Amino acid sequence: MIISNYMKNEHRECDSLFAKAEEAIAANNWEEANTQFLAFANETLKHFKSEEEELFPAFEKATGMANGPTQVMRYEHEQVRGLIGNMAEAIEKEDRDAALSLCESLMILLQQHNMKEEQMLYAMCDRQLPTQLKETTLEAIKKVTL
Amino acid sequence: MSLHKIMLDTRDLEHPIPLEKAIKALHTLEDNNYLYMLHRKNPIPLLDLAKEHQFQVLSQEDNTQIWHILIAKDKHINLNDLLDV
Repeated sequence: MIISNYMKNEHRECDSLFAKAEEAIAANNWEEANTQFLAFANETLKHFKSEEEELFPAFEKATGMANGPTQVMRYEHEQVRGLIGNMAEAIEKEDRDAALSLCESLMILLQQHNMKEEQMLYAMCDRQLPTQLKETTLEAIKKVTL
Repeated sequence: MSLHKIMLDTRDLEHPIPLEKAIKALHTLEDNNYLYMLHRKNPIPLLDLAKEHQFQVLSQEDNTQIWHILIAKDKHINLNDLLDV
C-alpha cells in the first residue's frame, strides 16, 4: 500500500493547510489567509503535478486504461485549479463572503475527488503496478517540484 | 432491439478488484447492452466515474444488503425495468 499511504498523507497535509486558510479568512486575518492559502495552493498543485506526470502515466501504462479513472481525475484537477485561481483573487480583494463561498465549493470538490482517488485509483495502483515500478514511481513523485 | 446483460458478481472479491472489473466492463458497453453488477456496498467512486463518462447509472440495495448496480451507455434504456430486486 505504499502508493495509497503516501498519496493519502499528501491529501491530509493539503486538507490541514486548507483548514488553516479557511479559519484565517473567517477571522478576517488576511495576511495569515494569504500565507496559508498560498501554502495550500502550492502543495495541492505540486500533488497534482506529481500525479499527472508520474503516477497516472505509470497506471495507464500498466493497465492500458488511458481513458478511464485518470482522465476523470485530470479533468477534476482542472476544475480545482480554476477554483484555486478564483479563491486567490477573492483573498487578494479581501472579499470574505466570496472567499468563504469558494472555500465551500472547493472543499466539496476536493473531498469527492480525494475519495475517488483513495478508494479507487490509489488502491488500483497498489494492486496492479509491479513492486519495482511502484517504488520508482514513488521516488519520482517525491522529486517533483512546482 | 434486445438488450444483452453483462453480469458481474463481485460480492466475494476483495477491494479494489470489483472496481477494476467494473471499469473494464464499462469499456465494453454499447447501446445494446448494460452492466448488471452485484456488490457488498454502493461503489460511489465507480458511480461517479460512470456518470462523468456520460453513462446512465442506477444503484439499489436489496433486503439482503446486496447492492444492485446497473450501468448503461444508452440514455433511453429504462434501468428500473431491468432491476431485479
